[in-house]
Amino acid sequence: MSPYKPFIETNQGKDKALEPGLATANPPILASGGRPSDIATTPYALEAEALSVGYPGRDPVISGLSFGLKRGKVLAVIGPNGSGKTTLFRALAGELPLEAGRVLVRNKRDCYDIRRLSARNKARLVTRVLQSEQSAWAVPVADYVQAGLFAAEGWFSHDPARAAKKTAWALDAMGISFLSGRPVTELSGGEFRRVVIARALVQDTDILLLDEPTADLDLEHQMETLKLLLDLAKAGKAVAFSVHDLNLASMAANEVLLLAHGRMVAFGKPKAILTPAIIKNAYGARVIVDNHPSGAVPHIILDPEWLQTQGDRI
Amino acid sequence: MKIFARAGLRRPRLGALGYSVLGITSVLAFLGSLCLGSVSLAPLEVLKVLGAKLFGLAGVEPISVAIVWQLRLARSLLAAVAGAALGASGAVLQGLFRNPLADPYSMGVSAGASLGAVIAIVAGISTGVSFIGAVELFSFIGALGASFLVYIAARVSRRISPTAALLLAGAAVGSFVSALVALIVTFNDKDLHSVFYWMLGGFGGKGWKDVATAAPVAAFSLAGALFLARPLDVLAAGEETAGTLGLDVALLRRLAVLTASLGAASAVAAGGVVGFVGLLGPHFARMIVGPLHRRLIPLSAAFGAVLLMTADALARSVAAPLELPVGIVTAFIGAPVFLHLLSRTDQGTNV
Repeated sequence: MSPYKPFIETNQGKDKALEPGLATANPPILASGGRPSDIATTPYALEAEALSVGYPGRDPVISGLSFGLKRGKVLAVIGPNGSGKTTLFRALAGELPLEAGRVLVRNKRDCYDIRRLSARNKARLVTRVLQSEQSAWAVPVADYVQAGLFAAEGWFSHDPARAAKKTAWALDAMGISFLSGRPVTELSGGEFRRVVIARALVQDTDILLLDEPTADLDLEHQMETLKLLLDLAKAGKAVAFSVHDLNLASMAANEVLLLAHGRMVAFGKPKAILTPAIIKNAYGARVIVDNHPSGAVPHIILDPEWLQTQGDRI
Repeated sequence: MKIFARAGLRRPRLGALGYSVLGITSVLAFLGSLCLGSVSLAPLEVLKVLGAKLFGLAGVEPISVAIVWQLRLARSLLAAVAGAALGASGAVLQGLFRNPLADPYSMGVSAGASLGAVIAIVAGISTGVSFIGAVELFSFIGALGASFLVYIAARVSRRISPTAALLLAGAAVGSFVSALVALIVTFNDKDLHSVFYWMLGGFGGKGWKDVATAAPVAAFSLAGALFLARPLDVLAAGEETAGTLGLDVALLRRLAVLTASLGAASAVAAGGVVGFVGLLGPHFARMIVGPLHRRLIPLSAAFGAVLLMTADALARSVAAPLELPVGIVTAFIGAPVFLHLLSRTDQGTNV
């Protein structure tokens, strides 16, 4: 994998302009205390305000959640199974009706209430990568990755030369140029994962939400994916990813959001959040946290003694 | 590694040569269909008739002109139009349902068309106009009506995904309407013969007026299908992913159902319920040009046209002067070929 370098386009201005008339009319004061017009000064690319989300006829999956996603930073969303990580990402991407609250997203010039945007405009502001997906057809990798341009191009316009260039760039950034012509249905889990992330690079939005991007990946590619997230942040994008391995969160994240039962239990720097007490409280598991030998980040392991103290299950 | 990618792992794209071969095959199938029938004509005779009609050449038998121009040409074109509409509809619905087993009749179109046709036959309805017959008109309306009903029925369910609901509603509405058809026929067994033949499909006795009514609808549907090529490619990754990529899946669903239903309805109105063409067309096409819809849809339409034209020519010639229902021929050819295709590993599908 070569280091991520932003894809520079000559017609970027035209590209980023959303369809007119879809920006929030007269938006009120934001959670950050700034105004939508403070695009240049606010660090937040995305803000959730008192967000409550649920599926019809069930208890809310997310309740009363407020936080901001900063440009140039990587946020790790952690929490036990079923704590609402995926639902949170779906809500942030504007795919779910909200029971309360709202999600505001900014590009470099405007602020939008994401629920008021068309599917296409949402996808021009926010990229969401699902935990898993499957292609129905044996589409060649390059064509599969090109689908990332759909939001920018729409149903009818298509510039094959630019598409080929951007696809080649993304495949190269993910180190999978050699897969270009292979059908996506014939890839290993890890290869397919990288194809999907390459498509996210092609979508090229300022905000990226990645659900378990390191799942299915071997150790080397876990590291390279984390590096990519950091590089994307360095290039000015706002990046959030969910992850089960707390050590990966500890290594790559500038900030950590801990969810439990759909509520935000803690939010802050990894050192402040990844403590035995907070983890025990959210996960119910006893862990030992020490400093990583490098001294840089917290290092979390399950407490072996805890296993001995548990009663027999069978 | 790069060498590998270039050395043939990439699915071969159909080049100019491939398209030429396909084009020539189509033309040959077309000319062949003009030669075959209860009276066989030499290919030269057929060419002479075409020359006479198109370029005013002299020296052809009037009887040959009547057979080729009035009867067979219109009929072959109608079969081609219906086949193209079925091929394109099949490709669109397989793309929408992300399922290689979907076909143009998945939306209840065949049952609806049968109901319309049976009503027109049993009640002895006449449209009173010359350009369209009652059976054609009623089966067209029945086909669109059934697919509309399926669409509405699918919206009622909130528990399953809307696209899966469409498939299930299609099966349910289809069985219900088929039962209605059977019920009507039970009480009107004098019409059993005509109903039986209509349901197996056939282009016997069709002429230019049928081409004139079917072709515009089929062309509209085909053009619509081509507009859906890019969104259908995006949908390959799944509905939820397609949504994150900026696709309005609900809009695509509506347009795809509308386009495919129009195409299938125009085909069944023209030639009855002809099976397998709308299933085979996309499969053939996918094997040759791969799964991207901008190439798949036109080629699937072309395959559908050639298949149905050839099947119709065989239907009217193998047991001449008796004419076989074309549905029998497509099933006889289609089923074994389809099974053969399924036995091959590389289907370009992921099911």
